[in-house]
Amino acid sequence: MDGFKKIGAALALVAGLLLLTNGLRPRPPVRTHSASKIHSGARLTQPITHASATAGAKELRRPAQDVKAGLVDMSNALFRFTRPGQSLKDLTDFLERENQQPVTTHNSNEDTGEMAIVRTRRPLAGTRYFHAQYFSDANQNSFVQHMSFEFQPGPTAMSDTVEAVQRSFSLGPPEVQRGDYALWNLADGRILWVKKMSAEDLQDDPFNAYSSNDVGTVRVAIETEIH
Amino acid sequence: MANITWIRIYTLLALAFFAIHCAAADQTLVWQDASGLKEVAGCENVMSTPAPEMAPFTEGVIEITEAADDARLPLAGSFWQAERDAAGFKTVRCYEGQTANDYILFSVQRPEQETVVAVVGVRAGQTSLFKYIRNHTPEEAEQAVLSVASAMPARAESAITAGIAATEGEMAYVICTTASTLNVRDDSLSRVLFTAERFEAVKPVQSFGTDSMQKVIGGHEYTFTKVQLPSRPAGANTGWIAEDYLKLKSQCAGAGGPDRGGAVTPIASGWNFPTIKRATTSYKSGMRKFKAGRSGGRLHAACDIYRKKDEAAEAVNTGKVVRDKYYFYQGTYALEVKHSDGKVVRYGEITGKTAAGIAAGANVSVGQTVGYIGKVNSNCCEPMLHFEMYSGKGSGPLTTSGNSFSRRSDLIDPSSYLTDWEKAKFGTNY
Repeated sequence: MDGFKKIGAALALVAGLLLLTNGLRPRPPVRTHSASKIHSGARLTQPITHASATAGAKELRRPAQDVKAGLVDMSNALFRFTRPGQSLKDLTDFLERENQQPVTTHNSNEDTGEMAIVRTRRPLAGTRYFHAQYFSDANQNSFVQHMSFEFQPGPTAMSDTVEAVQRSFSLGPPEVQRGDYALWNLADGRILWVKKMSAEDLQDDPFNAYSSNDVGTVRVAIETEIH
Repeated sequence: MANITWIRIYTLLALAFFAIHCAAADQTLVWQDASGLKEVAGCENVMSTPAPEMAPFTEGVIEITEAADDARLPLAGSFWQAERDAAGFKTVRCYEGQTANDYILFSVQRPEQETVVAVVGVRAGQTSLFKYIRNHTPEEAEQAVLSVASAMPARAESAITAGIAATEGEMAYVICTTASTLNVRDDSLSRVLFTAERFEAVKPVQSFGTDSMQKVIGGHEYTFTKVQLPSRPAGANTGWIAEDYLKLKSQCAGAGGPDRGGAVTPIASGWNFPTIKRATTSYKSGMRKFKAGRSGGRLHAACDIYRKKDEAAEAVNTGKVVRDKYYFYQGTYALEVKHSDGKVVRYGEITGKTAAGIAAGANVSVGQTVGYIGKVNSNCCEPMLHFEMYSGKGSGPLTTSGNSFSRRSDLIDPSSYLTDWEKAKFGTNY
């Protein structure tokens, strides 16, 4: 094995070991002046072999739930957590209480500052691909630049979603409206839009995975008016 | 510090695996011993009793004061404590042929970090990496940590993620496995559709229904999750993998960060107009021009260069991608490049398609495609490149408050620059 292969093997081996051992480590070796954190990616795991499958697959469906209730919950969340004074922690606390399993990443650079992204691993029934982007402003206060989720396709999906956001945000008719699109200009330089996604809309999303079956998915987004 | 025992170790320990995840710097470091590392499969979690020669290391806390000369990792200064409970020591048992090797698990902490930075398996009876250690009681170790930590400069607290567990890095997932490939299975989990490469980029699929499945393999029940591998052809890029092998890239040892590209290329003498042809409509008039009025009294912070959708958006000069694509506005994306003379450009309203070689930290050359012209989903306007430019004298987020542009204070009007670059690229005959 040449040097690179050895290093590759080492890296992979470490990854494997960390996977194997994440579930065994609730305790740090020494205590420090502040509480230890467990990264959001840590999960209880078991080693897995690629031995022949000996049993059938068992689906893990989320509990049966009114998908419209999921839509309303997420619409309300968009309203609530994009209001002034609501922090990213407020959002993640909420998502954890709802067992949506939020995952947060943070990156920063000296030229354009900090950015955090929150997504969930276990969306509410009828919804998916929750995504929130936070930046910090010049005064080191964080703000939501984008927050969105999707609602499942269906004959009334668009109208159901429009109705849900109108209720959550106490909105009148959309300022821009056509069959597959609705937009409101909100206070404080934000916009809210609802879009029935076409095949073109679903192309090349760097975060979400789509197939042709997803045409008709409805996305709801609130964004800073940045254009 | 009382009760510190110095121990010289000769050939007692083998450090089987070592990884330090440095949250602040987002780096992963790995060491291998002189005998090399072997591929190990079929490991299992067990509880064990350590071999007698391990005793100095499994009681209390050890501080690595000096590492072996050939150690390539910053072991010195780290604190190690064996994981144990009433049933024994937590151990990973791996097999090499018929031989079972037990790796006692140690939690590793560095004083400058709050978290456990690694969990390391240590096997008795091989080469030493720990040249000198100190034994501490947990209380002494705490004092040692505090004393070191207090001497270090305070780390800046994130204004955004204060109080939450956030992973440093991009929201990007990879196949994270010890093997070179991983089977991707069909909906029954019985058939292998194709194999994914280690560290291959994946996107988790959320399906409005079944997001995960379980299957018993080798007597254990495992959870599978559906993923899409975006580099593969549509229709043959989606399947199920064991959930344990889906990790954020920054949490997968060895996946590495983006190609940082070394030193930034010097600024090129010739600047480049950022589209492949002239704008279809002037970027210096109407709603497209810099400083054009927007709702709420805001002023337009860019020049909008109208072109054809999916055409290339090109780098205006050499530079480095400081932030990869993020959701920008009405179904479009933006990325940020620091150019080599210090200017920062936000290439906005591009599509989600990734241009070759473009990722956070990647160097770009003048004229290189950084993205593709997008179109906002309100259909308000033609496809465009929203071109924002900053002198680079400022720092921090580009979008902010406090001025009529809602932008950072070093925002500059790019109109005259674009005009010059346009003339240089396309001539003066219109």
